[in-house]
Amino acid sequence: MLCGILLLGFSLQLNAAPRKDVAITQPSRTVSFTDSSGRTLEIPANITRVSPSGSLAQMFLLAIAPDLICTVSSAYSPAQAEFVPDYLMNLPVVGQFYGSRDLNPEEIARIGPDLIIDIGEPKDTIAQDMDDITQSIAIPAIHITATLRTTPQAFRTLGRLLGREEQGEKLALFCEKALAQVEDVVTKAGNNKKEVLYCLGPGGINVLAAGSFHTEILDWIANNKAVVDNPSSRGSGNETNLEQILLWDPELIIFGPDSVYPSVGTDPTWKQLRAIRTGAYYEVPQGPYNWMGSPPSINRYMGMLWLGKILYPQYAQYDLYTETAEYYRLFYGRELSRERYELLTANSIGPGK
Amino acid sequence: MGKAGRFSAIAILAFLLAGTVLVSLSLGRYPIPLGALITRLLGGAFATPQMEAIFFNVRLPRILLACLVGCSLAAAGASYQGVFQNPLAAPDILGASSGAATGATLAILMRLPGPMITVFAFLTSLITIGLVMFIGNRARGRKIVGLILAGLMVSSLNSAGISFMKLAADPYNVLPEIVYWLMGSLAKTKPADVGFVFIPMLLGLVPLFIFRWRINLLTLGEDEAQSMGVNIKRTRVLVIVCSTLITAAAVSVSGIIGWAGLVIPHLTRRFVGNDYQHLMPASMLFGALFLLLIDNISRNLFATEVPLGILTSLVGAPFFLWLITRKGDLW
Repeated sequence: MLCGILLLGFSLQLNAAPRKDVAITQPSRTVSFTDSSGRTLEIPANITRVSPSGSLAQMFLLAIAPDLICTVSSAYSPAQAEFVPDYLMNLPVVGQFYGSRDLNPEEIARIGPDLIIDIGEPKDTIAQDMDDITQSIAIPAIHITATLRTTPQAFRTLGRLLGREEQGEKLALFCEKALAQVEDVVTKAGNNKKEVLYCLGPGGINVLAAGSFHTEILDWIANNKAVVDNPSSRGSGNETNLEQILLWDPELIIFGPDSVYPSVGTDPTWKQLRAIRTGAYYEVPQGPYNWMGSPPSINRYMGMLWLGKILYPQYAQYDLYTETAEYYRLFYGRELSRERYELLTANSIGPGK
Repeated sequence: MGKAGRFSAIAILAFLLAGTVLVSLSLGRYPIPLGALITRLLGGAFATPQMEAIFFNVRLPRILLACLVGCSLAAAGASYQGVFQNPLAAPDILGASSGAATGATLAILMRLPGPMITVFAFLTSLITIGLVMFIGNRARGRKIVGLILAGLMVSSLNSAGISFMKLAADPYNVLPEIVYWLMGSLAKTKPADVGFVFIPMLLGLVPLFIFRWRINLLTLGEDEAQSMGVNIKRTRVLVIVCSTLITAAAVSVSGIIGWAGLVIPHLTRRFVGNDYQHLMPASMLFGALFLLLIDNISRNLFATEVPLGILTSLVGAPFFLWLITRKGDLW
């Protein structure tokens, strides 16, 4: 019986070879597009609806063309609502291509975007992955590579692709400017980079170790004291203990959101650290994403400007509020009032805590 | 239940399965009306190429795979329960599932492409079973107990290895992928997956079906079976190898789908009795039907999928509680 069903299935499968007699309802006009993985495919000339493949693509699209997004890979949290247009909060959640198996391809096909866009660092199998999606639901899927250094280029490509050249150029310029500003600060700091620890987790004893996936900007701007044998590639870092942190005794500590930041000032053990004694400890700003890079995406541009300012105020000549307000205006379409900015960075900028 | 009754129970299951497959083909988030489906099955064409692509690349392979996986898990469960004479034996008893999970986790951690995850899972599952059987045979005392204990211990080692790999995994891509794999899902089924597992599954399912009467003899106890002139040892090895092969193949494409292998054979016993002549084909059909129904819920209920392992546990665990608390023997 089962074999019969299977045979039926396989014979149908064989029949599925390309059929010429199918009435194809072509989209009005298509253009050729070559994506970062080197695939060239036909995509609609006028793109009106796009689906992000995951949270990184979702962050990029929110910045450049929020009105074109028609599905989200994961829902925005209520805390993020402030920086996200209302209609995006209510879009269907369809899961992501990478990282989970909760993606529902039929749901995406039903909603029917013109294009599926994957943005970020490419996996080794990226071309095959994108081909698989394109083939299985007959909707073109493209990949655009965006690392910390190539994000400006990615925004320009997206701008051309989605007919948002102007916005893409603005975003690209902001990223380039931020990279140049921080490059300048790092050059001036030379060999005198500050010794820093990034502590996170509810007990504050997890560190993001040098060389790990999430410390790209920290390792660049500071001297990351957390040197361990096997840097974890997890965003939650390597678990260590207070004894080890006392041995490292960094000049400055940054704490992840929801960590022990509020209590270290009065904690007898934490107080042994010179960074705590001298008040050189800060909390990473969060909103709508963690500025230090959870996930490691466009939020890191704000994170590196902030880090430059708290680590080397003597070299960082820019005004952090001006930069932050511009970032929120460009990337989230939100005016960030001075009061809101101060709330956002209440624990993040010293002194005076 | 008489012989005719048992036969009709199997026939009813077969009809139910065929009907469910047909209905499932038209069920999905993307609308493919039953009329369009029938037209296509009769040699016509779908209205749009997109419908054609979705039907053949997403829906059909997934439905076939759900049936194959369910059939395999249930057949393996029924066989293990017979071989080990243990009502609680299930496909993961010998470490087949944890072995597959270790290979899949390793492959995901090494960022290997999708098909390699399946291959890794399949191979490590077979290696694990080989190891368990090797240790089990060296254990002193009763062989069956030795085998089950060896399975338990090697599974525990596998779990430790998986936990360690999870610890090292990147939380944005790799860790969730591992976690979701362990929850079991058919969401990323590709036509190639069906092709990949079809041969090993056939190699395991066909002998189990043909030699199903021999499993009856295994349940009699060694001396009795020996006295009937059956090479008990060879039969046991054959049944274990076949069951393991199909479990490994199933787990390698679907991830960990718990409970189906335990629950389905027991439920089937209620309808067709303990005779493996009928129990085996009925379990195979019922397993396919069960997992297809569960997968339909997973595919259709929400826009993002609920992993299959969760759904089968939601059904399986309460059943298990009922099984161990009801009056009478477990068999």
